[in-house]
Amino acid sequence: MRLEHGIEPAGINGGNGNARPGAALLERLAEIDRDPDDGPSWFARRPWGIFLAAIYPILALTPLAILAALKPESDHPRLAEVGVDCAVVGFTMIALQFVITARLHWIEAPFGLDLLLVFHRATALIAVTLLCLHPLLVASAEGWSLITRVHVHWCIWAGRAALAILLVQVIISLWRRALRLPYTQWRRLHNVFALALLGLGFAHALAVGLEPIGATIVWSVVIAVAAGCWLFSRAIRPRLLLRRGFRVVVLKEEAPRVWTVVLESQPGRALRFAPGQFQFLRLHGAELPAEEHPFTIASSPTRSGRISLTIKESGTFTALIDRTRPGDRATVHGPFGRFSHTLHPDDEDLVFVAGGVGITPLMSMLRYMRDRQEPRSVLLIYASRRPLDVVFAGELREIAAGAFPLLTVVHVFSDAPPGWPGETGRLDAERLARLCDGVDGKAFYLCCPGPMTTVLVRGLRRMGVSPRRIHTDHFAL
Amino acid sequence: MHRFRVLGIYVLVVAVVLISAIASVAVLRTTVTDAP
Repeated sequence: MRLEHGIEPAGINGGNGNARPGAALLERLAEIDRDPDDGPSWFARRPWGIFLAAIYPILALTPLAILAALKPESDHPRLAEVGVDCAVVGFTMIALQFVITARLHWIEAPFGLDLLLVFHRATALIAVTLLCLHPLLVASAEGWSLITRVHVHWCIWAGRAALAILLVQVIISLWRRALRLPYTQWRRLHNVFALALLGLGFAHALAVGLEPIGATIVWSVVIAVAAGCWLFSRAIRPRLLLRRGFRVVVLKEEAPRVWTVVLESQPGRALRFAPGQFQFLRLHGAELPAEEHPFTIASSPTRSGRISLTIKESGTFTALIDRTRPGDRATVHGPFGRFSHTLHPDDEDLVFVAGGVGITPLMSMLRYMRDRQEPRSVLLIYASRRPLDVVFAGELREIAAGAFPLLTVVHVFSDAPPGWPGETGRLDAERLARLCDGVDGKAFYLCCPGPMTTVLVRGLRRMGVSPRRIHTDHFAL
Repeated sequence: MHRFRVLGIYVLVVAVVLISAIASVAVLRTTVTDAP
């Protein structure tokens, strides 16, 4: 899919005219330095997305099919055989998670990273269910001592440990906030647990199985693919990204606890992105941990030699963002996501809804429309706590005063100052419909905190707005 | 929102396909074993 004006969505193209000799292939693998003028990538098109969707269940079932072909008759009673087959498919799905989450351009491009991460969670839950059924079904048919006995073969303990790690992985992922586990620590644990799970599962599968040598080959290939993706995304790509590092050139306080960081690329190596997309940032400043975090790009792609990120102090890492200094090195991996009006050229009457710092992707789109002189009609409903918390207030006034786009800004303050004549309180769908004078024919772009997004989406759906006309930024930490 | 709806349906279809395949393979592999 090609976007308007030659700007394309996440990870569209290959092409690298500035790579060092010998590094071109590696840089291409690292999905960096794409040139949109090369035309749309085949990977970003719908047929490729349909192909990937069709091939996923086939891949998940391939080891089971090969193992069944190698040994058509089972050694187990039927119930235990169901349990064994659940484990084969569940473990294959766990291995495929490493491919899905490696942020590979050829997998991300047709779907968007936000969708892939939701898919990752959903399929992980299916895999966990299958893997939990495995010991229960096998033990119910062959004896509960498989679960209860202490003195068992080491491979049974490997399986037990793998299952325990898997359950811990699920608990810390689903209830990270309730457990008050910082994102960075969770991510480290998630990566280490994933690799441990892979190794223990592999050992269990090889040692407990009585299948012929073909089974060893099948599992070795599955593990090699998964571990290769893990190694590439966690170790190789970060080093490749350093070769095209960015530099911090400006750090500016936009509002209380909200900072804009402006990054400058190396000459000829600008980041190409669609307005509204996000990227992963790693700052290499001496006073900041060199951790990778996702942030939306607030600047317009029309000025892609520099990108600006507007960040609110809301977590352990972002609380230190004011320690960034001009001259600090940074690496950027992206862009990702499909939250962009440029992907929906049929949407003409746009309603942007921002909650707090959720203004950033919408600001990128507004700046893009201004720079490209797009004559679109945009109503921006901007919910903040107080007038003091409004980000980009001056620039929004300037854009609204111009002709491109035809912008109207409505502020809604939950803690309005005395005498404020405008909207106050919480924003819900009924108020949203009133402010935009009915929902018919309008396209909604929502970038708000999770609960607010849920309320608005449910309300808009109740009013009959098609899901095709409701776009949300689903990437939230 | 439309993308996520399609994803929900897709995941359900995949789950049904996988469970059906597991059951089918288990039945096929144990038909001889369980035969009287």
